Amino acid sequence: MSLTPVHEDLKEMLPAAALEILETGELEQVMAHVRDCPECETEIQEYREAAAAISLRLPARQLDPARARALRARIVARARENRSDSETAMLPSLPRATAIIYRWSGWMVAAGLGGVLLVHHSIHQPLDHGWLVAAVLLVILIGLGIYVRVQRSRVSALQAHLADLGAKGERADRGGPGSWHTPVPPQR
Amino acid sequence: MADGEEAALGTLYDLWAERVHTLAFWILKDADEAEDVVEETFWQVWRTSGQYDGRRSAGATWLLMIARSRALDRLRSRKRRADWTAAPSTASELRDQAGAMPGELPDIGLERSEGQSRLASAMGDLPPEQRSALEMAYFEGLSHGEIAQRTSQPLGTVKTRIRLAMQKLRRGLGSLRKGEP
Repeated sequence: MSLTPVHEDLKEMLPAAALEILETGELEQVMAHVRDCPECETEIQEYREAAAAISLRLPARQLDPARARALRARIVARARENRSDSETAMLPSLPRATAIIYRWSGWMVAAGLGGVLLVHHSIHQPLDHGWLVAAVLLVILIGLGIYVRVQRSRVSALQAHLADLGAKGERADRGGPGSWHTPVPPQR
Repeated sequence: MADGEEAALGTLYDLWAERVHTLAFWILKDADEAEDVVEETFWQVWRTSGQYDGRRSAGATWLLMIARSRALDRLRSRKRRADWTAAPSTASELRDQAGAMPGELPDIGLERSEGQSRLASAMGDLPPEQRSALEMAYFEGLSHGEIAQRTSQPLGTVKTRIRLAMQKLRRGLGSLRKGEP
């Protein structure tokens, strides 16, 4: 008699595995078998779908619309921040020269355009003191770029902050955490 | 969303937040904590969407499994705290409500396929002892041994009840796929 569970034994454990109520060792055994057995892989997936359907019997609990909006904004802002962090984290893995180009590409384009303007005005001088006008325009362009960058980061921070405030405000409107913590008894 | 688009996450939230909140609430019996579970669920979906394989499981199943796991984690953590007092079990509350909605599904305001509705009513058709054992496993994450202890039934009986209940639900799913009435 073998102590190792055979296919049929493990197959019987699939419903409990789908519900994730097996002990850790048992679950690992079942999942190792599932990885190598297409029949059991299909079966456990069907059990999972059946388990998910259990939640459909539940009487609905509606999210308060204002709180739902605040929660949505918070989740999306968090995801946006996460993506931004991921992109920044990617930079050190790039070659140093590439990372510098990536980070400063926008400013390089602006400086290049400014340089073209300066050269153009210094040669053709279409205006009196044309080079001076071009330099002023370049400074304005750089200033505008800095302003836009700062405002974008402030808007992101404000969105996240507003989402938090919205959630807190809603809680306060409802009479504090106590009332929100109290589960609503089921309707009979 | 696997490409990291926040708009897709927002759309998914619009479609599923209420159902996730409903599931979390009935596990935790606390609207505030249920809301935290909604946030944790969508955050996990965002972080792990690259690992999701649509060929292996339906998106809804994946999402609801994450939500249930997060809610059960909180429930277990709460039970470990010394000041925890047990709320009425979801299974008993649902049984109390059964008379108020005989064979009828609650309107949860989201698209629901015929298959999902049939599966849900199949749940209602289970023998009470099987349904009760299944609900304790599903809503409280109790192991076979814990359910046996609570119901004073032999371990083998509990295992059989849960297996039979799940097999009936799965068969309901299978007959729907084959187009059987």
